[in-house]
Amino acid sequence: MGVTRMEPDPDGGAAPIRPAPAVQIDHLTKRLRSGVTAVDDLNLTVDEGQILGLVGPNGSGKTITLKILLGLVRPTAGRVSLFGDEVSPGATVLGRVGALVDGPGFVPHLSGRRNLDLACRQIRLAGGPADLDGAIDSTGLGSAIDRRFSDYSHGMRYRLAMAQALLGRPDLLLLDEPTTGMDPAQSHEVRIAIAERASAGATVVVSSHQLSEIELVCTHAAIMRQGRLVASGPVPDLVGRHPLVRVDLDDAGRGVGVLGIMPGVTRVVQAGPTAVVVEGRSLRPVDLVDGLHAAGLTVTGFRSRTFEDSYLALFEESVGSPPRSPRPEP
Amino acid sequence: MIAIEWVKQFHRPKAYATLGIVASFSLVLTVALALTGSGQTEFVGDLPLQMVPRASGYSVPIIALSSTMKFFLPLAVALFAGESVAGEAGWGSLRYVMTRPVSRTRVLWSKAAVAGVLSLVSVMIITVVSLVVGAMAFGLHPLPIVDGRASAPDHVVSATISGGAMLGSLALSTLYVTAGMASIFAAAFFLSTTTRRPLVAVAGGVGLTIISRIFNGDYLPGVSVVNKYMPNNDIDLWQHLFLRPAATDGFVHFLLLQLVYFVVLMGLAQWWFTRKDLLH
Repeated sequence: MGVTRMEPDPDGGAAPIRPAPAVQIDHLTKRLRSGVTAVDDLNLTVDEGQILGLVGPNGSGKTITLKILLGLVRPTAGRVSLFGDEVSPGATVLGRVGALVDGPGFVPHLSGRRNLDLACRQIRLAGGPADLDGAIDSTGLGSAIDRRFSDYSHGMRYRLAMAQALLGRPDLLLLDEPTTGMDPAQSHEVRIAIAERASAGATVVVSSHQLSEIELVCTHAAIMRQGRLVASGPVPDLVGRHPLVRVDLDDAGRGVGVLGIMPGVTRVVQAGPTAVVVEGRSLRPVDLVDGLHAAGLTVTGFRSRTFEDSYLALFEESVGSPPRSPRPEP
Repeated sequence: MIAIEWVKQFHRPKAYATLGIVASFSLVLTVALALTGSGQTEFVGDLPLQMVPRASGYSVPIIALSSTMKFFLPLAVALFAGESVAGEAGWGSLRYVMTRPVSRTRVLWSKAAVAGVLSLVSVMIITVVSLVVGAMAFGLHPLPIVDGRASAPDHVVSATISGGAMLGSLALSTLYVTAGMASIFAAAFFLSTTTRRPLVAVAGGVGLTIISRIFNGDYLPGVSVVNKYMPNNDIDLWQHLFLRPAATDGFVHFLLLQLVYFVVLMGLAQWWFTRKDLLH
C-alpha cells in the first residue's frame, strides 16, 4: 500500500529540548452563535515533518479547526499554537503557513496571474519570500493564467488555490479537502505536490473525505466526530489496530484449520461456507495464500483491511456500538 | 496593502461602470438643458437660487450637484463602501488575505481608503465633468443668480457671480457635498463588515439617506428635533454659497454631524471587523 511504518522514537539518553510542535491544539472548544458546539475540547499535536490526515464526516469540525489554526475564527476556549507561537488574527507566525480552506477564493474579475501577484505582494509586505513565476508554473495552467478567474473551471480554480497555498514555501501547509471534485489524475497531482512540500521538510495537515487518499499520502491521521477526536496516530497503527484479513476460498471449514496454526495468526473465524476472517499481527498476504495453496485449497479472493475499514470500526467504537467484523464484500 | 486593495477595487467592471454613469450624468444633464431650456430665469428643482441655466456653463455643476446629492451620489458612495469588505468576503478571497500576517485593522483601513477615494472621485466627477461640458455648451460667462427665497415674484437678479468667485464657491460646494457623504459611506462600510452580501450594505447606506429624508421637517413638521440630528437633511445648504450675501449658517452643525456619524460608524466597523469570526 506504500505506507511505511514510522520509526519508533529514538529514545536515547538525556532528551534534548524538543522543538515546539508545528501544531499544538489544547482543549480547543468553539461554540457558534447558533449554539452548536463545532469543536469540543479538542487536543491534537502535529510534530514537524508529519503529514496528518484530518478525517471525519461533514460537520465534524475539521474545517473550523483549520480556520482557528489560521486565526480566522476565535476559539471559545482553549488555545492553539503553531511552532510554539499562539495564533491570533494576523499573527506573525502565519507567515510560515500556506492554506487552502473552504475552497478557492480569488478576485473574480482579475486573471489568475494577477491574483497570484497580489498574494505575492502581500507575502512580501510581511517580509516573506514569494516566487510568482514558480507559482505560475506550478499551476500548469499555461496561457489560461491570463484569463479572468471567473472563467476558470473547477479544476483550474483548485490548481490556482494550491499554487497560492504553496507560495512563500510554507513550513506548514493547511489543506482543507484540496481534491474536492477532482478527477483521479488531478488528485494525483495534488498528492505529489503535498509529498514534494513534505519532503522539503514542511508539515502538512490535510482534511479529506477520501480515506484511500489519506492512506496514500499521510504519515498520521486524526479522526474527528462531532468536534471531538475519536482516534489519532500513525496511519499504519490506525489501520493495524484491528488487523484483519478476509480470505475467500473453496472450503472455509478446512481453511480455518490451516490458517489457525500459521505464525502470527491469533484468531480465525469462518464467515460463511467459502470465507474466513483472519486476525493477527504482521500478517503477510503471500504467507497466507502460500499456506492455503500448500494444503490444496484454492483462494478465490483476498482483501486486507484498509484505512476505511479501520475508520468505520473506530467510528462505531466511538459511538458505542461494538466494532463489526469486516464488512461484507460489495 | 492600499496598493493591493486598489488593484482589486479599481480594476473591476463595476467601478468603471459606476464612475462612467456618474460622468455621463453630467453630459446628459447638459444636453437636456441645451435642448429644453427656455433661456428664461427658471426655478431649478426646489433650489433657493434661480438662474438662467443657459446663460453660463457655471450653472451646470450647480444643477448637477443639486440633482445628484440626495440619491444618485449616495447610491454611488454606498456602492463603493458597501462592496469593499462584503464584496471580497463574497468572493471568498478575504479569508486568504486574512490568513497572512497582516492585522485586520490594516486590511480594514486599506479598504476604507480605497473606497473613500473612489467615493471622493465620484463627487468630483460630477462637478468637474459638468463644468467642462457646461463650459463647452454655454461658455463661462458671469452667472446671474436670483434669490428664490426673497424675490420670487419679482425675479430680481440679486447677484452676478463671476469667474474666480464662482470657481471658489464650486470647490467649496463640492467639498461640502463630499463631506455630506461621510455618514452614508460609514453606514454602508460598517454594514459591509457584517455581511457577505454587498447589496445589504449598499441598501443600508442608501437607507440612511431615505430615513433621513423621512424625518425631513418639510414632510413631517412635528419631528424637527429628530430632524436636526438626521445626517442628510442639510446637504443642500451649500447652495446658499451662491446667494448674495453668501450664507454659511448651519455649515458647522452639518459638518460636525457628519463627523459624529462617521466616527461612530467607522468605530463600529473597526470593533466588529477585528472581532468577527470569518466562518465563510
